[in-house]
Amino acid sequence: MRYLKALTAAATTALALTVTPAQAVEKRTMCVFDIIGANGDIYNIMKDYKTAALGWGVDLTLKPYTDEKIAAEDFKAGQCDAAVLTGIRGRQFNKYTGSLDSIGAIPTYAAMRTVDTVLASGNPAINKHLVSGPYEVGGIAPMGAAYLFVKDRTINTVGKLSGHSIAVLEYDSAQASMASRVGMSPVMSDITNFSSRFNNGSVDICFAPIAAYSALELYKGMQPDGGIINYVLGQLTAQVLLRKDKFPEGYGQKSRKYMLGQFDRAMTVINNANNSVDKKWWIQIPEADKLRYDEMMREARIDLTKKGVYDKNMMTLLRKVRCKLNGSRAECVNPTE
Amino acid sequence: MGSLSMKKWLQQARWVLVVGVVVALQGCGVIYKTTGDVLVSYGRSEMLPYMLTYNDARMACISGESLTPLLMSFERVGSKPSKLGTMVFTTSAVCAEKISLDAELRYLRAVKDGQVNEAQDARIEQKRWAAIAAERQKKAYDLMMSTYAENLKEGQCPKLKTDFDEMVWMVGNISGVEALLNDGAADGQVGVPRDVAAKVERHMKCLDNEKWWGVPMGARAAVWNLLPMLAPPNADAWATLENSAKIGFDKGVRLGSALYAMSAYSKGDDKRLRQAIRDFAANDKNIDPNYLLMDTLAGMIIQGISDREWTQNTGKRTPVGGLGTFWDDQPKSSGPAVDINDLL
Repeated sequence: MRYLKALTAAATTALALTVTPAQAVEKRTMCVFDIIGANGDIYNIMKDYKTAALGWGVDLTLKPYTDEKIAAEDFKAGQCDAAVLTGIRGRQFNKYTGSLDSIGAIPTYAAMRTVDTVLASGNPAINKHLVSGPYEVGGIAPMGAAYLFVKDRTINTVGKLSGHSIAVLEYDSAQASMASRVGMSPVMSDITNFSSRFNNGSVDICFAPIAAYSALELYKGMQPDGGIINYVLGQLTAQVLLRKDKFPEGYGQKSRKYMLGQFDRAMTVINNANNSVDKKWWIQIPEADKLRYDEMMREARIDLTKKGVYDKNMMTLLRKVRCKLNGSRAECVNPTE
Repeated sequence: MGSLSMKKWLQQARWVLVVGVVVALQGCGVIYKTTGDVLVSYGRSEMLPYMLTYNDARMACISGESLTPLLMSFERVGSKPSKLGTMVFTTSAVCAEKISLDAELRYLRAVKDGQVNEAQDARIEQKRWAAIAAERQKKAYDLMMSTYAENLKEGQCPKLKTDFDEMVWMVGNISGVEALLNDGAADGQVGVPRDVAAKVERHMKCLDNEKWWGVPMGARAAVWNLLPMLAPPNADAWATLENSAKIGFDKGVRLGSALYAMSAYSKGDDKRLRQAIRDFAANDKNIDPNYLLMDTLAGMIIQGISDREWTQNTGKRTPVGGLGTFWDDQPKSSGPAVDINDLL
């Protein structure tokens, strides 16, 4: 009988021990910006992220935000322990990854994948940049390349951009600065009105991710003689930002690895958006002009880095990635970034 | 001589046989087409109105799943089942959506219980069924578009001659938005074009808001909430949705209320979401018996959202009879206070 009691006690203890890890999870909140809220693509990725986080000892409550500004403010105010924001908005929390969306810096999705792999590598030389003050970057997901949508397809060279109006996002100082450099008149806009300004003809050009083509019907603004200049002006990213002290040791690295694993999934959504574009809209630009664009973007990035908008270390990493994938680029001969 | 005439006879008989077979085959075609036309006509004028009086969504969805191939096959013999097709593909998607929702609830429960594998498996199941629902809803939308909007210019409305046409237009358009949402949940497996939302927003202008229970304006406002850039100047999405819900309560088909709740859920607006669910539950006395099924489908949407909220917070779905209540409601006082000592 005594043996039986001892055995029961031992079994109970063993059972308690096995149950403990599940009970020991910490509860945290994550504010997720997704332009269409709880039904959006980014939010959907984070629903799966939540299951992975559980395995790392954190029970995340996801809160959808359709206004990115409020999501960023709530994160800053400590109302959420983690947030998912676009790189441009996230720049205030980490300038290094906040410079991923810099103009013309990631010309292809292959380059984007390389950059993502480097950021998730766990290499101390990279990881030191991923922590800034109380914040840590917990990974990124691509949201698609951004292009210039024009009303008139004869605007196919850099020189012809001059004198035209362009809708730019007011919270990204780089966009207005870049527009002014080439002689365009920037019209300060926000995410809710840039597309209608383009579609109703009050601006000649808009700068937008490829997903906007279908969702916001940018083809209406391009009719009848407009198009999309086939030159990648930037890559939009969604970034996981963490309040480091609210998460267990090693969480950030696991999170970055997980987000890298979502790359192909994010690409499915991007490819759907790309495939929805009627081929007639693409405006191919001459090789010589592409080189001119490259040079112009490079100069703009150097300028914006000097002004403190972009991070120098990230600019160097991105230049190295570009040159690794295409060593014949002019900038690789005498690198300055 | 005899063999010659026999040969001639055989030759003639061969021709008769060929002609006979051709006539017989054409006859089959005629019979098939007639059968198809009768089925389409019967489905539209008798079966659909009859089905709409049901309050059994499961029966509707299973009918949709089982009848769709039979109905649509008559397209091959020249019948035109596309209008009815929009309706049956839409109801068949309800089955897939239900399984997808159950998987989502399993995911939420597993997360709550700390079961990682179970949660991840449930997400896979959810996405598979969401893709099937999206595929069916896209088909419903495409059939509606090919019937009414093939050569339509932007901003133009199709000729919707009967109430049935108007209903198909409304249901097909809503299926389009649903397809988009389910495809999003399925990681974009189906590839539903994203401009469906903007198109549906315009298409809804072609319907009388009062006549269709506030759904046209409610659907438009739900799209404005998803993509504010599509809203007309000075539009107030929430006020429009509230009005849409109210019209639905007055008319006895509470789809406007469901749209309101879906929008609040998507925006993460907990206060509005609870209000929408409470209002829906409180307005269950005046249901139009001719459109009971439509109201039942609205109820399924509301219950699905309520179940997600309950499961996330308690690990269990909405209790029986508990729609319109929440786990953290203050307990109602059960009559005047009784001093137990008085009874002893």
